[in-house]
Amino acid sequence: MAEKTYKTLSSSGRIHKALKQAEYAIVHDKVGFIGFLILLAIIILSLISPFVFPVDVESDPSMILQGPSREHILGTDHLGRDIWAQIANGGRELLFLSFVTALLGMLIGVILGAFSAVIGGKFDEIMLFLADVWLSIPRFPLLVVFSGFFTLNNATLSIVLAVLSWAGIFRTVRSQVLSIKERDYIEVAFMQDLSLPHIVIKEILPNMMGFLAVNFTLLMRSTIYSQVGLVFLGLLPLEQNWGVMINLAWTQGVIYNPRTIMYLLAPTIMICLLILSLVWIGKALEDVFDPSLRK
Amino acid sequence: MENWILKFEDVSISYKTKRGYLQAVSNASFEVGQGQSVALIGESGCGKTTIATSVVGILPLAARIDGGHVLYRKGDGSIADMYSLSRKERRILLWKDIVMMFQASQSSFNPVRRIYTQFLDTVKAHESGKSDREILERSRELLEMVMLDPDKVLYSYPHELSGGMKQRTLLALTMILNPRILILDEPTTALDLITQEKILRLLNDMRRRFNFSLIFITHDLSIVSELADKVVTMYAGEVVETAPVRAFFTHPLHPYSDGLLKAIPRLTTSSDNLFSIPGNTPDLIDRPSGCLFHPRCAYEDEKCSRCRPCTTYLEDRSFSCFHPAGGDE
Amino acid sequence: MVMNSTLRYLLKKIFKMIFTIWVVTTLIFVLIRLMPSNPVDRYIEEQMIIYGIGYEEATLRAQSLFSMELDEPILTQYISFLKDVVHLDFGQSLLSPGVDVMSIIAARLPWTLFTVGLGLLSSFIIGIVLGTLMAFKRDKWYEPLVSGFASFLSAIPDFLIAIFLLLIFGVFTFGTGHTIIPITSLRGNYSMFVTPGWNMVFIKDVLLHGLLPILTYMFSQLGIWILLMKGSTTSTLNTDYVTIAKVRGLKSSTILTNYIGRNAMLPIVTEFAMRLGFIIGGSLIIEQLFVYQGIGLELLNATNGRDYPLMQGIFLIMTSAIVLCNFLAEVLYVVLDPRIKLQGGRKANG
Repeated sequence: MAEKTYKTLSSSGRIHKALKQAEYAIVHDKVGFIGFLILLAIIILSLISPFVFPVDVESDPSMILQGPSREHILGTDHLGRDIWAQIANGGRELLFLSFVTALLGMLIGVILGAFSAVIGGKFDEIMLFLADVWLSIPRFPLLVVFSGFFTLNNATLSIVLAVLSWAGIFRTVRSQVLSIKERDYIEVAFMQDLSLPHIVIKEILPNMMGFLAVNFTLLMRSTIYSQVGLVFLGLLPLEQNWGVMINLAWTQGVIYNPRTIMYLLAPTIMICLLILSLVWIGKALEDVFDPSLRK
Repeated sequence: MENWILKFEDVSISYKTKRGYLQAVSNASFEVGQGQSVALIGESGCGKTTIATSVVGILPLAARIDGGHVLYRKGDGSIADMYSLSRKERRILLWKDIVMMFQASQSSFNPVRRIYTQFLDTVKAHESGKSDREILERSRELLEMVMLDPDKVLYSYPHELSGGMKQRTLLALTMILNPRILILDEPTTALDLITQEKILRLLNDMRRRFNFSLIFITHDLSIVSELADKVVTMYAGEVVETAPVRAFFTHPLHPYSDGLLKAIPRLTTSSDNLFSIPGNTPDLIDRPSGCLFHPRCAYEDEKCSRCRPCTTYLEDRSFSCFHPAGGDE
Repeated sequence: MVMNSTLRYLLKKIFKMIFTIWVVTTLIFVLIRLMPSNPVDRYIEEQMIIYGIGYEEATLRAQSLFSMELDEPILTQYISFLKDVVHLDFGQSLLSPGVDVMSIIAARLPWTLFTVGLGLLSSFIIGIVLGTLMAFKRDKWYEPLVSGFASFLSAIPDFLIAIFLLLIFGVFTFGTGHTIIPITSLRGNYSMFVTPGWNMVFIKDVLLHGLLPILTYMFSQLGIWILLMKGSTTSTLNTDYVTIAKVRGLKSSTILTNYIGRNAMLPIVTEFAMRLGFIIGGSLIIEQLFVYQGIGLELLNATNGRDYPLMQGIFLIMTSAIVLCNFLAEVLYVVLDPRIKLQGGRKANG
């Protein structure tokens, strides 16, 4: 009975706290709010574009590499297809891939980090050492080397990236859990002899939500970096996204044809916007969840 | 003949906050005599640390000196206003003439350099032409005086010393240029009782030997009784009473001083009878009318809430109250 | 006692360094030799199909190419592979037969080290100066502008910065009729007509060819240094020992260098090493973009041509370089921060 009242109290309190934090974030962190708006715009664009701005499936030899015009506001590509439609449709895949990868990566890192910190002892020491070792292996070259042995596609890339990024999240989660573990209420939970998974899931994780959210945006960012980078190097199959556009614009020699520079510039700017919005949101979340950083 | 070495005149300092200016110190005046030891007491936030740090010019960025002077009588008899000195002029006086030690002297030393380098650069910043050997020789003497092993301390890094050792090392460092005024901000908080006692004894020893004037800030009235010649009570940024130490303890004139004295726990009083001053310190941005203490005062009457009491000066003490010691003025 | 714990710290780090390189080496061995349809097996099959030769002969060819004793048990192969790696013998390139992998690396690596090093160094110096300055000018109107620009630079990927630089310097003419830099004639590391050596013409030519990669590395790291240095200087400014140093009447220059500078630099030093690995990874794309003949471009070409000995050699050298830099940074950190020693030997404080 007593436990029940405690729970309802804390959950309603949690919702109230979350609302307060959201309000604070919007009022006090304008940059974070702008980031949120940009991300929202990209998501909405990605959702409606298949219906509103369908990508040209057929090439139009008469319209190759045209500059911006009324009909094609950003011009056309080397096959005479509209660039704006490609821009509008080019974010979906990146967003989805980075989201899934980040989710997967967080899951691995959080599980390993949380349990390593809670178990402690030799196991923890070995894990920490392995993470240190793992972190000093250059990730992007490793990906490139991998692509020489296996044919990567977006699904396998997602898994490989998630696995590769375990060490960074592991380390941060571990140190967070260690510091939370020291707090009184966790000690009380241990004294009550609650099971380990219970303590981790019910007591520790909820207190790390802010921190997890921040790392989530960081992981999404590094996924976009790797994905776009690999696509640019031609090591991933070409589908419909901004990285592919940069790759095609580049290989078609657009830079020697400044009139159609939008083919290269537009996707570059879109990727910048996407990444900036993620970074800004991450910063805002950090401020919201860590009151000590407030001015 | 006047005997003061440091004189605060109508000092007002405020902090810029989101709600407006917070009046941390207002029209505070008191003197520190040659060789005298003055205790600054009052609750947290009464402006005692602010007024002390303003002397050495390290107020936070948000602070603003609204008016007043801190006059310092130099060794040659000339008088300098610490507030209107240029940065360079002040730098020359600091540590050579006036030293200050903070509450958190645990972290007063640069963590990445050995202690002796910090003795060396202090002296070199003020006295050119002294060899390292001379300076270290002097440092050794001082460290021995504070009962530390000089060879061990000088070549240690700060983190290798305990809290009490760091405190004593800093004390030795304060004396290296024979200063004329020592300002201590809560010198013994964060130390255990035995270390506290040691530091107090040392301070008394050193005062006798070097004959400097001492200003110290404290919450602890037992330290006041051991160390002070004169007590300055501050309340909400104002100096409400100054008195010789004996008079302060036996016969406080301001109701607030009286309240502070009554709040000292004694072995003879049971915890039920322990007195505490009712109410809270006033809002320093939107200050109450009249005497700032009147909402908490037992002797408060209609006049107290209307007019601010002027400072009354007696032979060796002063107070700002309409009802000194509960009576009428 | 202190000496002892320092030694233990260093030994631990050396062990970590060697272990890391071993992990990467083993990983490569597994990829090349043990994976199903691994390159060695595939090569043997190819030789048998293309030239119609027997298995033994094809194995012999593969043996000399990959420098492996393919008929020995796998464990022996592994040990001799490790031995070769220790002797920096990675066999010969598949694409240009007869050329040692190590000699290709030796020819390419200096160019990458040159551009990455110069870019990192210049960004480090500029970033630290600007970051320190911004910490002191927190209340000035231009501080948010500089910090905003810095966070922009630190957020976006380096190869996008490279594209922006390329557009600004090599594509847009800004109405003058010609671009700022004649980008098309700047492919490669230096022009055909100059003679390599310590002459001004060559040095100038090399710098011009490397300019855009260097600028890219510089701008992509600049933001981080500014932000980090600003943060760490700001927090150092608020410490007691800096306040006390002012009260001690020390000269501003002494306080800035010995008190603020030295402490504010501490967190930056470790970051420096972490960054290095990141940029070397980024050099893959940057060198491809500017057609700069460094180790990154070579790795990419090797990957595209499935030149496994070359891939393995470059990747191992890259990893070793990064691991070594990490190690040096950790040693430097001990030298700069005396407190670290005690953490290594935990009990020393007791």
